[in-house]
Amino acid sequence: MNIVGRRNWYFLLSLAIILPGIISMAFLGFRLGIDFAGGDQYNLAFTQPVQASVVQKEMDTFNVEATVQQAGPNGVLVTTKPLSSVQETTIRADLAKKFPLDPSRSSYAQVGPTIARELVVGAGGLIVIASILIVIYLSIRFNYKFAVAAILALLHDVFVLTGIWSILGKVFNSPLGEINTLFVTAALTVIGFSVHDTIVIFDRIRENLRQASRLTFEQNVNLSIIQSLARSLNTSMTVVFVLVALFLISPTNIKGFTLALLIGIVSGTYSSIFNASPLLVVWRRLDPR
Amino acid sequence: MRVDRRLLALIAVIAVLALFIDGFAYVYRVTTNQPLTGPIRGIPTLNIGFLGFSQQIYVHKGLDLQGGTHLELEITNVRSGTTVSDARDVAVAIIERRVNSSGYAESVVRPEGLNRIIVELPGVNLEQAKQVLGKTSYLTIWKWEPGTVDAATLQQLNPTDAQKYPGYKPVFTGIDGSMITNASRSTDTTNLPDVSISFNSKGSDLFCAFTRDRVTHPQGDPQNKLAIFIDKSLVEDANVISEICGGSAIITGGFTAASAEALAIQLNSGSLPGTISIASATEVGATLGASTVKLSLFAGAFGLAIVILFMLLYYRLPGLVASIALLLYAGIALAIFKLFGVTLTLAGLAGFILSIGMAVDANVLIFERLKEELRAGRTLGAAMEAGVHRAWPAIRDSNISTLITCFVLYFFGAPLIKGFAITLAIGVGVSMFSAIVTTQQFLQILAGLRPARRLALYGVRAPKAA
Repeated sequence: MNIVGRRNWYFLLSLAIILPGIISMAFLGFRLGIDFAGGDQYNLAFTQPVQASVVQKEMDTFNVEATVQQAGPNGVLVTTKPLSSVQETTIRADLAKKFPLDPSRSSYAQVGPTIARELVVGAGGLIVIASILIVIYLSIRFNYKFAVAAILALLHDVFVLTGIWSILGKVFNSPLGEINTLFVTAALTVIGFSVHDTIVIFDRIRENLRQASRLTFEQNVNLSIIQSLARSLNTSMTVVFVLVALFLISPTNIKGFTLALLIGIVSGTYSSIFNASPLLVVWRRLDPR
Repeated sequence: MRVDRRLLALIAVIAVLALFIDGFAYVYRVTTNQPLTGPIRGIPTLNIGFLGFSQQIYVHKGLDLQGGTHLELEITNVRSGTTVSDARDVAVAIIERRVNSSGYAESVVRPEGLNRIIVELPGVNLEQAKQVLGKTSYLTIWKWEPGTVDAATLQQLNPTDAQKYPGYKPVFTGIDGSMITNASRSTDTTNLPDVSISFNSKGSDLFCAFTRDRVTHPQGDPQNKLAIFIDKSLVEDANVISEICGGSAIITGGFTAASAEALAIQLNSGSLPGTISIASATEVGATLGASTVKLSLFAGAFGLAIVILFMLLYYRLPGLVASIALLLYAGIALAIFKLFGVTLTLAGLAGFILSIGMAVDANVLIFERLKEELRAGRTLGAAMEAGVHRAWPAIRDSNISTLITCFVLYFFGAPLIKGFAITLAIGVGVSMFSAIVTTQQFLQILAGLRPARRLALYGVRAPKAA
């Protein structure tokens, strides 16, 4: 198997996935959840089926920019602009009166504009700080080329994930593609996993380079990838199995979270095999020292 | 490396301790007919002073798992002369008192950042929570003077309350809630409930002068009365029996224990040092939380099962060893969560489940190396040692970079992200122990057993050289 030799095809495949996402992010942006946009969200569960359109009609009478989406046959997700305490109580009482509401299976969240602003700044900052620290650590353990390649693979995964989320939320208008705190948690998990996966292969390259051999750098990297392949696939497959099961049984409010993890883990495995290590080879060719 | 008896003993001690922490409480709960979750009755709180550790050992479930209301309050319009952080701390104390006196168990009130307060009320819905916190009540003390109520006063106070005594109007004494430092329920000499309040020096002086003036009027005359308004409503209209100087006063007048308590709370809240508003609120229904727990338990069990099945099929005998190590790993991690009172939230569970993946990974790394070494024709003992030795740098570097991420998340992240970071970090730490110490020691025991030496048990064909 010659993975490094076909690297351009793999880079192309990554681009083909990332580019639509970047275009979508640039022109359409994201579907922001209330964590980031501020607002109120009712996750309503009913004791019998209720159509979202009926709830939408009712919510429209309050004039609070409400959007109502179906969440399973017996539930809807209502998102509004930030409500005052009185508005909130009134709407809740009205909904409880007009629909067969089950309060013990419902949830409600309200995020004020100040908190929302902090989160936007915070989430981006966290990814940057974590990346910088990881680059420093990897530069010490390996060298800066390995560190940069690992971070490029990490950025690949972040772009794949955020791009797909932008498309899901804006093009398909799906509530799954909402950017909320859980999504940020998922993105951070993916970052951790991506680096973890990349390092395992890099470790193999480091070890093989230390041993005197007649192999070229390129052959060496390819050999290391193949040697680590069983481990990479085994670990990822077990995680993917668990996540698929979780995704299938998750309620709506967690489905997005498990889906994000699933996409991120698959992308993380792909990028560490097909992007990170071949990048080392590309770099070595451009700067053969 | 040989089998290290001291390490084996350490593993055994940790395993027994973990099992005890995990299991004992449930045995006790079942035998004493207590519910299986939440705090335990009849067991003292474990107190380890030098660790700053004082709590009962049980799984602390986050609000998203047990249902309840989480509020993030913001304090603004802080009264002049008070710093924001002081105001925040005063407000925390006051809200805590209110919450506790409402009898909501296991509630949390704590400062967050410069001007925020986090309130967590398990099993309480948002409406109840709002009632507990109350509006940001403002207390004022008025006196009654002959005359007719003017329009400005009618704006400030409820018209019916302001016009309680025909021919008299309420006049503001200048004493307001900002001068009350504390109010509490007490009992008088005949054991009837009343309310004690303490003033700061300015309030004390004003109150002293005011009551000295009021006692000159005969009892029954509205001018003898002291009228306490909270916001617009008259909550107390008491007779002044003697002048009250010295900074504290007692309000009597037909209280029940509950109404005295309520007034004390209102007086305390009246002295909130600023405007409290809700910056964010989350309410989770009890059943919703329970179903999330079920879901995560399923995910955890299913994950473990898949992993164990896969390891047995793919790695054979070492897979069995790793499975035992993995179960032990899950037990130790759970014991640590209990011991340190880590609050488990959905994000926290996600972190834990992810760490299972990483624990497996460490084992997979070792076993892949083990296979390679066996294929290269090494003896079992040597191959095991080399396998662990050569897998270590990858395990170390990948886990340290994960710990770096956890560190950043924990110190800079929002509360939800913190929960994720801490369980992931604990999981990663324990998983390194599990892979490097537990799995390795078990493998070394195997290497010493004759029946365990067949290479087929390791999924490797005998090397050609042999």
